[in-house]
Amino acid sequence: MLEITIHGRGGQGVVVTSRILGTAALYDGLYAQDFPLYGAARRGAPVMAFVRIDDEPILMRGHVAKPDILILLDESIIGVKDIFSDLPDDCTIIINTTRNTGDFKDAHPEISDRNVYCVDGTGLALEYLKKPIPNVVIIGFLIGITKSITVDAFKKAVRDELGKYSEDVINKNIEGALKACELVAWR
Amino acid sequence: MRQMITGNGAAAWGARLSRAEIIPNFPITPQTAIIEGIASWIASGEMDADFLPMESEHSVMSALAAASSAGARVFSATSSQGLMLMTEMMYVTSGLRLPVILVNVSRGLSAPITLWSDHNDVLAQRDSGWLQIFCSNNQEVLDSVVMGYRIAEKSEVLLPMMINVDGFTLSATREPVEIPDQGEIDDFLPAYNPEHTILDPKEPMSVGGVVFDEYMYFRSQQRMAMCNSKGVIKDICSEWEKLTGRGYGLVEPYCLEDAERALVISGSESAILKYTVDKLRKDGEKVGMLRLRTMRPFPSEEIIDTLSDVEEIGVIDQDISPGSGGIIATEVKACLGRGVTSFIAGLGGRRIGAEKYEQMFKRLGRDVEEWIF
Repeated sequence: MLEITIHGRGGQGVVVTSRILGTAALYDGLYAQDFPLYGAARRGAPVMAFVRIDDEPILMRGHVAKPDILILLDESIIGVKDIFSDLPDDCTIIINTTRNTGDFKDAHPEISDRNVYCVDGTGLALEYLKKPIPNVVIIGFLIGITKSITVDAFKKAVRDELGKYSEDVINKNIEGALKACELVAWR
Repeated sequence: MRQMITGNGAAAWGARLSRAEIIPNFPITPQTAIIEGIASWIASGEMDADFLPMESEHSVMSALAAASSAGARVFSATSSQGLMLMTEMMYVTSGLRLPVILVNVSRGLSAPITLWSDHNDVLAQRDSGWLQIFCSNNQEVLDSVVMGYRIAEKSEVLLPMMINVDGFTLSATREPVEIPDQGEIDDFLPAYNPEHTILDPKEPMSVGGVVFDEYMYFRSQQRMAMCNSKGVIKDICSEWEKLTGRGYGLVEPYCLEDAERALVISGSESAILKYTVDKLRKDGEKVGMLRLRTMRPFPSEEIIDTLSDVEEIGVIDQDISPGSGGIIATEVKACLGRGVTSFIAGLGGRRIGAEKYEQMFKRLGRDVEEWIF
């Protein structure tokens, strides 16, 4: 079973990220579970969401304690919550930041021996969407790094989950994400 | 059609597929998304129903009873304090023998305030004369609503049904759910045709009037209906299994055939308990689980049949009757006529987790109440 935890702030698309991953897994013929965790939800407040993906029915419930993948959409969360302690040794960490991985690890030695990928998702989102909403772009990085879901399933899932937005917004999100996926391949 | 939907979404789909006609409602977390979903379908024309925003949950239950008395198929949802406010009218609904379906998204009772799952709200209504179903996953939520109307509307039952959905762990969690075709459900669940009570100005009748000595007679009929419901639930469940391939009953036994130790549980936490049983079985431990799916009618025969040969039994309660103990443990003890280890866990949604279930299996064999924090 693959378990993913997503951290960010209300309005950045934390919940939508989990839903796109869950829906995409279903399109890939897998079992999935996705759910958000927030108290009184409001824009800007720390929000978490979780995804479980498996090739058999999922019996585990509740928040993910030991994620295989940790996605951080907003690095300022680090100052608010202790999100790096208790992570499993083989946890892959994807961080939306303008810093490079070396600088980030220097600043956070507690994760220096983990698989850390620093990516400028907000930069790509600004380039493609003209809006600082990095969530779909970050999923592109995730696909490039882990191949957890297929690109076809991802595209269908984005159409389902962003269905209330215009065709243009949906296409630009997908373009940005595919660009992110390519950037990973070039590393 | 297989979709990722939440427990709340599954409840709303159940009401839509059942062609519920009157939806009196009042918002409360974590239930509100059920009513929002139905409201959006009514607005878009995908569901043909009257949406009645009421001024309180007490009024919601009154409207459910009134509309059902007039012959409509009715649906609503609530949680926690909302269910408490309905209490007075819940007894009226069951006393009038009205096949109302209510989804309760369980949430701990105030004070202090919590938004998370806890069974004290639904179990506070165990004596209200309502059928009570506890769901373990989102598919079961949808299936239980549709089956619920068939069961509740049977002439030998005619009781309202409360379907319990655990707050957040099901209500806000998406998982794959098979949504049946409308045509398939229309064949399974024909339109409601009330024969018992129908308020019609052209043929006036009085319901719920004053009785004196006869009161006890009405109560005995209610009790008889509850007894009848056991067979009806099994019949409807097997019909549903033939149609969809998904079988349910009064209980869900898991790995009990040769079990030496077993835990009794209800609701969505049973999934993690199954995971724990699988893990311990791989290590050669003879452990099992019994999930109580119907709390009313209480599945006494099924508990005796499945647990009589099990040496050590524990009962997990996500509820507490202060001064008495775990509510379900008390009933299981009375049914088996012997002691069990009563675990109080998961109150207000406090995480239980596989490691705590393992701990519980190690601590059986004592007739005590133990709190697992």
